[in-house]
Amino acid sequence: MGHRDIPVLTTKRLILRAPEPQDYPDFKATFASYRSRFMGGPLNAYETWMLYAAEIGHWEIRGFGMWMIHLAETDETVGMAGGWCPAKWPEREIAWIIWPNKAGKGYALEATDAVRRYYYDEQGWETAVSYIDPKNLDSIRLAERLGCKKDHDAPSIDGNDAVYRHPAPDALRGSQTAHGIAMEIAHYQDPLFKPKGWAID
Amino acid sequence: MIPTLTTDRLILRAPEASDFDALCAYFRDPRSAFNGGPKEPVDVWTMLTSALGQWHLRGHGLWFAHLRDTDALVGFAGIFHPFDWPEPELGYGVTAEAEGKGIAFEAVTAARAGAARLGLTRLPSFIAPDNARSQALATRLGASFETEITLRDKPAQVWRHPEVRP
Repeated sequence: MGHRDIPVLTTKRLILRAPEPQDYPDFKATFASYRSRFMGGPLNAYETWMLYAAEIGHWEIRGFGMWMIHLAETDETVGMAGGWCPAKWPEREIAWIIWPNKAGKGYALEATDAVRRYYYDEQGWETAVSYIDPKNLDSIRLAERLGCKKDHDAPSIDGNDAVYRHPAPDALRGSQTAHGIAMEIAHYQDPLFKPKGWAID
Repeated sequence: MIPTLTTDRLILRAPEASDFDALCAYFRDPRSAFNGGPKEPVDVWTMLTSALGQWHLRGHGLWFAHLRDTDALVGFAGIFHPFDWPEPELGYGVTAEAEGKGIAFEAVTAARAGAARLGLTRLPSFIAPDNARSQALATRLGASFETEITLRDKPAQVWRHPEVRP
């Protein structure tokens, strides 16, 4: 049945929707795997179910949360992205995870860019962080592509993670970073994409 | 969407963020061992939000029971149905302060009637073989021992509640 109040976000390739019961096997597969080592996993079957149900309860309690990312073309799921702030979290986080066999196609960038714009424009967030394990190089790289800067002064969750601060809405809007993100996403969406005025040689 | 139930002394409603501290206290107590405890606060948060999420995934779930007088959280009762459960279960737990006052009986009776209105009319409760207090409560509730099963690698008794007409 899912949840009626969780908004649907769409991008060119993706549809972000509330987690639904039929999506659970995809989530379970990833959280049972080594892929989830930077997201509190791997989890046993029971913990995985609890976390999945908690994804929806988080929306209910906080008014924001994580979306399930679907490909618009096939409806299959490729990961999750959204806001995350369980008890004892220092501040609101933008988080993401992509299923292991769906990585490398720019889905995390496209989804995270959309959720960040939603939280900035629709929910009035003035800032956000991402808590990233220093060994999680893929996520650090994505944070940097999103314009995040390491925030050495902000409290981390437990001292084992680095805090990456997202650019504030005003700093992001119309910036070179924002254009760069849009261009990179466009390139993933259409590898032949060339902006107007692209050099011929 | 989540119905609220009231009894003489209790109000049973959806889990809320404000229940977190009281729930942490319950899960610090060794008595929570029969309900997956003791739990650290981070895991209590997952339990709280997953209790809420289960309502949306399954269409049924746990109610958190509060005293009508003081609004204090005294326990929970309702349908517990993680994916690996053989069937939806009527589960419950009460805080140490609420014990011995018939509060669990009152909460579970209300939750059982609430479950019946959601179409679950003949639920089991899964009880640890050494949880004599819970077995006594199940007997008072009219449930009877049905069989023994293995639940997450541990033995559990299935106590079947009588059919409830919605």
